[in-house]
Amino acid sequence: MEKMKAEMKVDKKKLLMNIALRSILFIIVGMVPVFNQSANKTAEIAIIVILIALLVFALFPLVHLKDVLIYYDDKIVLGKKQITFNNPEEIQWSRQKMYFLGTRTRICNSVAAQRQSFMDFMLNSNMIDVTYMKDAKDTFIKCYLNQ
Amino acid sequence: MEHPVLMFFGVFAVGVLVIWIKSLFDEKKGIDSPEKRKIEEILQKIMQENKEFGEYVSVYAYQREDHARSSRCWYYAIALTAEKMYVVPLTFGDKEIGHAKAVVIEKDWVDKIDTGKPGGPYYCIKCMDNNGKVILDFRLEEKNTKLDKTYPVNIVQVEEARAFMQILEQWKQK
Repeated sequence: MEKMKAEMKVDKKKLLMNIALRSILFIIVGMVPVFNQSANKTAEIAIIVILIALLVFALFPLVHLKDVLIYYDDKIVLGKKQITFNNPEEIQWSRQKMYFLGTRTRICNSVAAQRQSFMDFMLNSNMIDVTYMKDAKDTFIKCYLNQ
Repeated sequence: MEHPVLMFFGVFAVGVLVIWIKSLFDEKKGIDSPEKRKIEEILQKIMQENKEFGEYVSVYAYQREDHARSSRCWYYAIALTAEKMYVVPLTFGDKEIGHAKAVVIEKDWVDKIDTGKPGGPYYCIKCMDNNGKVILDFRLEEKNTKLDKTYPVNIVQVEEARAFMQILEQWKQK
């Protein structure tokens, strides 16, 4: 039986803040038809398509709303993704600046840390995105380090 | 706006001024900050575990590696005695400071030490073995102030850094 050390839920404030920041883009593009009345039919359709794409982009963080991050003795699990380790010191924390969207935080093991591209992340189950999780790193330190 | 360039420089100057004033306050905090105490506590614990009851100098150091679009940083608490160096990797959370097991480097294992340019306020230190392989590479700063997540601590360690460098000079002359 695996022993659970801690369980974390999503930081809803952080998630909403991120959605708000993403929505700025949606609002800016949404303002274009207000100031530019002379746009033709093709431009209108293009703006609608862009607005739909931006709406999806703005609301995308909601897919993480029900995420639960669990720390076990020898593995870290988030949904279907998991990282196993022999020693918690193998775990690395990666921070990636996302410009005005803040910073993306990921947990990976030392092997996955060598691969940093977007496709690597999408295809690699040894990397877990914990950007929206509440106190993920502080809890990790309490659970695995300083003992 | 009649002078947008002037306005840009004005905003830039105010930004620089704000950062400078913040760093002055952070330097004051760094003389006896919670981070500094925590790191000293960690090293004290490590030294007791390793049955080192003699004198040692404790410092905070880091190593930063810059790539085209990203950078990586490693943080260390280091205790230096006349014979051994205890290097403790640190992990910084939002509120917590974690540490891994200490790596011990003995004076005899180190063949060459490169301390970069003499004098402060920072020192780039490289310890190499007999084959010229770098076994430890870090940057020691007398004044560390918080800037962003990459620079997470306010630690002012002027005397400690100088004492550390003095012991390293003795290591060089073995």
